Amino acid sequence: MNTKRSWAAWPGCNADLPEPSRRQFLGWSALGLAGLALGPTTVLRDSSAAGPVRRLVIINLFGGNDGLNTVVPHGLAAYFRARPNLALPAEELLPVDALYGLHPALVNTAALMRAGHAAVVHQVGYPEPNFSHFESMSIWSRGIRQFRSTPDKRGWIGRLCDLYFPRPADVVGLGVGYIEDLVASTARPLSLETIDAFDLIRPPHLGAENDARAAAVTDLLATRQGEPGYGGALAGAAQRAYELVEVVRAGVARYQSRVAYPDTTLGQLLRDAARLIAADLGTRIVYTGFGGFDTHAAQAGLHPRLLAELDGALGAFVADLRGLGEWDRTLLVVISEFGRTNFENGSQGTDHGSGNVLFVLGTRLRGTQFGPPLTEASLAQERIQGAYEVDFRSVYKEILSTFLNVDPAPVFPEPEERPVRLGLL
Amino acid sequence: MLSQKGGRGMTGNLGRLGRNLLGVVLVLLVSCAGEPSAEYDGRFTQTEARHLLRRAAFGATDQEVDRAVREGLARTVERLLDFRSVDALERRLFRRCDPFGVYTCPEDTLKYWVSLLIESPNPLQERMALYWHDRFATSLAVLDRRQQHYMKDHIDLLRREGLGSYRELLLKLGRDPAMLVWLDGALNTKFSPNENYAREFWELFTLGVDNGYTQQDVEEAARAFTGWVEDRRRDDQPYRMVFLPEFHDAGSKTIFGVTASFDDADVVDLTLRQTQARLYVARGLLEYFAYPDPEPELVQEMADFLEAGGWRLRPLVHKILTSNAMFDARAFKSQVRGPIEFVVGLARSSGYGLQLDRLELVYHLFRMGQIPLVPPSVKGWDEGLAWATESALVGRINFLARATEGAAPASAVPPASLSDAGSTAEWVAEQLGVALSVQERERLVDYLSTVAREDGGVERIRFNAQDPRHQVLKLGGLYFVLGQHPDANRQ
Repeated sequence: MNTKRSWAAWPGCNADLPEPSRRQFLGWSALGLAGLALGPTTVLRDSSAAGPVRRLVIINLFGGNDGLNTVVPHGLAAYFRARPNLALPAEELLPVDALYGLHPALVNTAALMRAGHAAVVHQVGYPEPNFSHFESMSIWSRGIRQFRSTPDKRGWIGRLCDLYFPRPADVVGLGVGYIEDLVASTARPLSLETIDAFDLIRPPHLGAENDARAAAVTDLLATRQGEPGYGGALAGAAQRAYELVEVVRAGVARYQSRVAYPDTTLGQLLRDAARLIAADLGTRIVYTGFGGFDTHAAQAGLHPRLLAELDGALGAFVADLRGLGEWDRTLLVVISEFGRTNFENGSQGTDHGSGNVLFVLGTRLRGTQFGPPLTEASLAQERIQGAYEVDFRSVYKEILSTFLNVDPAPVFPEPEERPVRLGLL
Repeated sequence: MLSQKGGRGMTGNLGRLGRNLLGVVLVLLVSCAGEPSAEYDGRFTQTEARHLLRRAAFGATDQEVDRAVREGLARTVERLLDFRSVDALERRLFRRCDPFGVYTCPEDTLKYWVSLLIESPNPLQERMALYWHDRFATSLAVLDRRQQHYMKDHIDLLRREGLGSYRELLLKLGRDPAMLVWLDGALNTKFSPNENYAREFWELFTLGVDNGYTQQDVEEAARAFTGWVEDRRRDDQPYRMVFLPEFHDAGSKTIFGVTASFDDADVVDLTLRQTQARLYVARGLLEYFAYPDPEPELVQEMADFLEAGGWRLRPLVHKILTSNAMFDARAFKSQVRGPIEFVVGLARSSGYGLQLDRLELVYHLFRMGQIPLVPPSVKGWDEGLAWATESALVGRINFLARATEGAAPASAVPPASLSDAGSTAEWVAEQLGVALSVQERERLVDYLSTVAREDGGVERIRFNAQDPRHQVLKLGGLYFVLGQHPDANRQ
């Protein structure tokens, strides 16, 4: 699979845009003037200035990150045997312990780990691995292994917000579109691509007519809210879009920071996450991510760049949160739909695997290494990077109960085969 | 289908002969009265014509709808399927897009296809290309400078073969340079097989996930697809794909339990022999044109028709477009219009948006969540309410704002006899597929009858759709407002 989730990730395209167009694009977004006369906002009335809350930021590495070359088991001979070309030499790694080292691109992550603010959970997965990106992503998103035979079509975050976090800004997807994790039934998580583009164009020559148009739109939408099926859903979504533009724009104006984020997809997404947190809308979950991790070929060139993008963005984000006084109240989780094969393939890449590493970052961690470590025997299997030992739902459940202080049982109705208690926090 | 079940129940206490006779009569009756796969036997009015033209042609002007009603369903569908030559248009776009003669810049390819989508006299050709582009989702985002022309060839493949032989389409897809880059086929050689294409070929393109193939089959099929490599030798030239027999694995492979020295054409043929292959095509096209979750009997019938007809797509699409299923109550307004459908539909039905630079249209499509030629993944785009995220809707609103801010295109203006506020509101609503309530009509008449002044007051006007000032200030606004109506965002 190849995933490119944003225009910014399009190689050469930004550079190729003719200059007048690029200026036009920038001009249009600047045209969006605040202050549409829309009447009182109903959706978010009670969510401005929500006060301090704890929140979870989830970063998904789309495509299946190669965990073995991320947290490298340099203590195992099987690792070097399986990857004659792709294995990273032990002396180049950022030290963790006698068994593991971090990929040299992960400098910020390694520093956070030394401070006890970054942890790895090893061999995370789910029973009966599925090697399709989309099946595996759905399993992670729905939190249900047997999701195809489950009538509940919501994502785990959808269930979470139906139960506990029903307001639109409580859960925000950033740059991930309509991702399955956020599909809810009664609650409506907000899905943003970028904050800067979340603004309305008002053609200047239409003047006050812009307000007359908008007023007519909102009146029409209001009459269709209750319609069954797509009609009501579309009317509701459009109404929310008008209201949320105002709220989000007013909120992010509060953001002040001197932290320079890398000009990468994830760098800009995490900057938007920080702006949302500073906007004080009461957001409890931010879900974001970026793609390109499906390294079937020429992995040695691609993977270091991807990890550098991850690490650079994480470093800036954590520094920014510290400056904003929000780092203590934030927990980051870095996931991916599966790991990759132990053995490299014929194209100097790796194919779809199963178990994988998962990162947790925050100030309240009670260790830096969780879950059973890899062994020579587990690496001898071809397709599976270690057996799955830790069900990802055990990790999520623990975070929900100990960090967000909600009961995780109804969020994950399908019991894990082998529930574990890691003691992360 | 429900009536068939009832029919069987009714025959319970008759003798065998009577049962059989009654069965025959019932089958005849049922097939005359609304069997979904049978030829449509209902009325073909403005409503049905607009529905057909939205689904098969992105939308149409009022005059085109009138013509369809006049000519009837059969003639209209034949006209939709009878593609006129667009060579001249293609050449004009080609020159406009890239004076150097090769599509080396992604913007040129985007402008080329977006222009065809909104200007081509064969909307169904582009509709099919869009369908296959979503199903065989391939992106120019992974192509470098000297590979960019692959994408132009790729979309042309989908445009040219989209209604041809499904077998040919699959075969050419596996040899298509953009696809060979996108799913690593160009790295898949005898010496180092790569399973990426083989897996998605079945999982997403032809059978469906875990639907009759094994990991072993994937690995063996990957070997059958080997042999294509990229020729990068000429420094000053774009790359090209070549087939080199020495890179092809001619050895024996076992696929679906059959063993021979299969090549790519054999994999296509073996795949088409799987029953689920034809069901997969039929279900997909029924959902695209008719309605979601078509009943298994209907899918089966269309699938068998496709297979019996030698996998030719044109007769199948003809059959679907003229079937009862196409005009079933479940079909109307059952889809959320995707961004490309929305933009192209508005341009084709009203002319709004045509005045914008093609690259600006691409920008709006990007903001609405669907950059053509840049699907989010090989799975294509998510549909339904996935198009209705707050961000994507702000993109729609902004596209409408830009499209409707200036002078009104001719096809957006109602006939002179329908130029007052009430008639204009009704006429535009019909254009956009909106069923206006009395309350909504009143609100729009009110909107059309005043102009907002900068000092906050309003000037009352006697709206006239033929008045150029009213067109800019109010008629454009009417399209802006109704374009955001939930009905206008469904098809």
